[in-house]
Amino acid sequence: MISVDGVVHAFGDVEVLDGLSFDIPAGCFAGLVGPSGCGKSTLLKVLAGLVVPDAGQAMIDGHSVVGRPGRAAYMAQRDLLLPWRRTLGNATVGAEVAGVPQAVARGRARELLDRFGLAGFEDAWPAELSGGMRQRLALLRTVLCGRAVLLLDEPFGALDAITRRDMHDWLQQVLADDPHTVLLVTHDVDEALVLSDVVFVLSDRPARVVERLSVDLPRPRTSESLVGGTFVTAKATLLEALEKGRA
Amino acid sequence: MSALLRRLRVGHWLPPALLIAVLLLAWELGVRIFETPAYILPPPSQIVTAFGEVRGLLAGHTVTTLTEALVGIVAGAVAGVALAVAVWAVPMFRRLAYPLLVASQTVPMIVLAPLLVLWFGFGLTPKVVVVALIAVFPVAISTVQGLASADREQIDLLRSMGADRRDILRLVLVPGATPAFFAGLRIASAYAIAGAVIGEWVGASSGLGLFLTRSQTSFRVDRVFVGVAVITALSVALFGIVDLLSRVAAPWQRVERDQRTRMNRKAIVAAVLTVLLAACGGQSAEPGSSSGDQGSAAPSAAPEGTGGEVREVTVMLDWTPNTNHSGLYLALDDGWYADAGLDVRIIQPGEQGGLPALASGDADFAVSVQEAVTPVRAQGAPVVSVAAIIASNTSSLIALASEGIGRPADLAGHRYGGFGGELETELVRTLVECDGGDPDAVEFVEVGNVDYRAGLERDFYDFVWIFDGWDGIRLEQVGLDITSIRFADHFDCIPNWYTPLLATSQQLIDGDPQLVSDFMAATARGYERAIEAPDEAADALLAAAPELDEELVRESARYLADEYAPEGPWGVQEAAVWDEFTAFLQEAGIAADDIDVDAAWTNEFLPAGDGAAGSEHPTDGG
Repeated sequence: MISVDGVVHAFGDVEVLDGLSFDIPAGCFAGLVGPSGCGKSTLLKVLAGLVVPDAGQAMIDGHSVVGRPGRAAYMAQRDLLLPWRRTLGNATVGAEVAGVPQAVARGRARELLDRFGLAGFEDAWPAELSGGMRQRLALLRTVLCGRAVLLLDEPFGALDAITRRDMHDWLQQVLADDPHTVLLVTHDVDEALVLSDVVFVLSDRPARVVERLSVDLPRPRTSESLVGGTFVTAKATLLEALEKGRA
Repeated sequence: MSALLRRLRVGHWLPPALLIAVLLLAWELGVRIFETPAYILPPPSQIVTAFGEVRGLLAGHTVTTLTEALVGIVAGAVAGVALAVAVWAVPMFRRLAYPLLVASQTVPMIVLAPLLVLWFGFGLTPKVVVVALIAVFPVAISTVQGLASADREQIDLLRSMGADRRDILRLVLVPGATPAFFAGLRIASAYAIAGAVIGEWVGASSGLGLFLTRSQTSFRVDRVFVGVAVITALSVALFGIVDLLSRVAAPWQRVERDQRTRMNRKAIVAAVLTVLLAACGGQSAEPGSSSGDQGSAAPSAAPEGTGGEVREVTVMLDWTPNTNHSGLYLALDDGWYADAGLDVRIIQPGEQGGLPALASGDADFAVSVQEAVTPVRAQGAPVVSVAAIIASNTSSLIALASEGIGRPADLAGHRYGGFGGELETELVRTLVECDGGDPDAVEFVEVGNVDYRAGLERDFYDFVWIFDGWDGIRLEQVGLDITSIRFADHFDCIPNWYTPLLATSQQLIDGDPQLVSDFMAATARGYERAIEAPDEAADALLAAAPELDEELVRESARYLADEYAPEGPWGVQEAAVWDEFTAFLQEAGIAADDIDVDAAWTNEFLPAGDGAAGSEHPTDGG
């Protein structure tokens, strides 16, 4: 589970996080939406151990992650694939850092290639992969880190609408088979609603939680879910909260 | 094989190959149509013929130069990476090192190289240092950029996985900087061969630079072009090899590049293959011909009468090997040095001559000239002349017959082409004045290293200073119609002096007079034999320096046989020659007034020296 308690952070004079607090139970898929530049990515980096907050506590499964990277699997907006590693090498880089023997890591990666739509591309360089494939490979790398918690920072932001829809369906399947606690940052309200069990809405900088919305849509959620009444109501609530959070 | 041919993509390298062919054809035709003399610009066909002649020789020189270039480039690359890492990791170091690094590139190598020779001797080291200095800059600059361009977010991502510094170095920094490193190395590789050649230019016993200087001084412009062609081919090959290495080390680069544009580097691969094949061919044509290695009497030959101890002796020439040196080569070839327990190594110097090497202790003996000995002594390097190689000055002033210059007075109103040295000017003026001409009517033109034949024929100047035993022979051979004023015919006007002579250092005379005596005994024997049997002398010289023109060497050896010592035993110097020449320099204000002339020379170590003219002993504390 993820627990954020009173996290405050500023970059120089710019206050970014203003005493954020929330909890995400184990196995829950949480969405985090908010205006551009409100500090969503910073919050994720705090949880990844990359940014040490000025004050407050951030815990994963009961352990403080302040300044201690390595407890959650983090995925940034850009795929950040290593151009000098082929598909399998990129997929297993997290396992490699964690000291998992290469043969074991590669074996596990091979098992998941098909599931991640990368079968037949084991030996391709990143430059040879399409945008969707690169993103799935980045997700595969994140999953193969072997952490219970995934921190995803707008993973589908760079994809076109159709590819993105496919990725939503696919991610739900992947998570149904292999449950994780997920915190997904997005600026796309639809995406947050399709994927999340709970959505947090952040205010403009410095960010506070202005809304916590449970999404009670049945899974698996399909394109039909997007036109149902429940969805429309939830979306209206989120949009209203976003508006409220603007200064 | 057909797959290979397909991969070579004939269509891509055929157009440039055709262009080169057209250019060569135009060159060939141009030279023929305009009847350009071969010593100005030889046609490609003649260069090809010359290549055939010297192919066996080239193999040895090529191996030497290639070794220097490769060792140098590896050293430069290692140093460049080390610097890059230091600059990248320590910001303070960046501020300290960057100006130095940039400044290091502004020092002209041609100036630095002679100094490196003085610091590191004549072996592999100074050449390697030149190449390394050339290589270090592009490698360091490029690698720093490669390291600095590491993706911050990528590093963060790995940190989020719990990666430590070593993981990040291994996973991100090293592979990320690899293409940049190779980009720098590629630039370095293009210059490495030329750098090694510059290093050889100022002193070497083997290598393409040596091949070039020797070809140049025996007036074989066609062979100079052969040398240039080999240097170019090697540079292209080295570039190609580095390019191949970079593809192996960073295979993803090609994929990334292919995504953008398709670059054609197959031509380079083809060139590499061609050169490698050619090099292999050259090698096998004449196995074991390490022609450039002119020195080293087999030290294994048991020395007699010296208790088995072999003493190493380094002799520095004054120029490329020529017939002035044939006594040395003969003594070496016939084993007379070895018999005396001496392991003699003969080294070709660069422009600065051999005296600085004597002063620095890098050489034990040096071929030099009288006018160089006194100034070097004045600078505090006690060098001592121990033999006159040729008894009198065999210089002449020559002009085309059409100039109508028959006697020194005729030089007035004409242009003298030279190096602009004080001695040249003073001698020409004295000659003219003595013969009743007006010395102020002589125009002095500084021409540097222009071939005197070309200078005369192209009318850069009207008359020029030559040495009869080498330049004069060549003019006879080409049959140029000239008139000549021999210095020897005017010793009533101008002094005689010793050019060349053999010098050693006062330190060696004081420290090991026996060595000096032994060396001089064998050397004198060599020259005496060269006087008796000029063809043997020519053979010995040609064996050591096969790059020289054989006809020229043989004719010159015959000429010099009569000039080395026409009136007595070889090597003996006369006090009068030393005194009169020094007085001449002093009167002209070229030399200082307080010169101890007697300390500058001795006959003491000549077998014929005892009781010979003017045997002042510098060993007495000169």
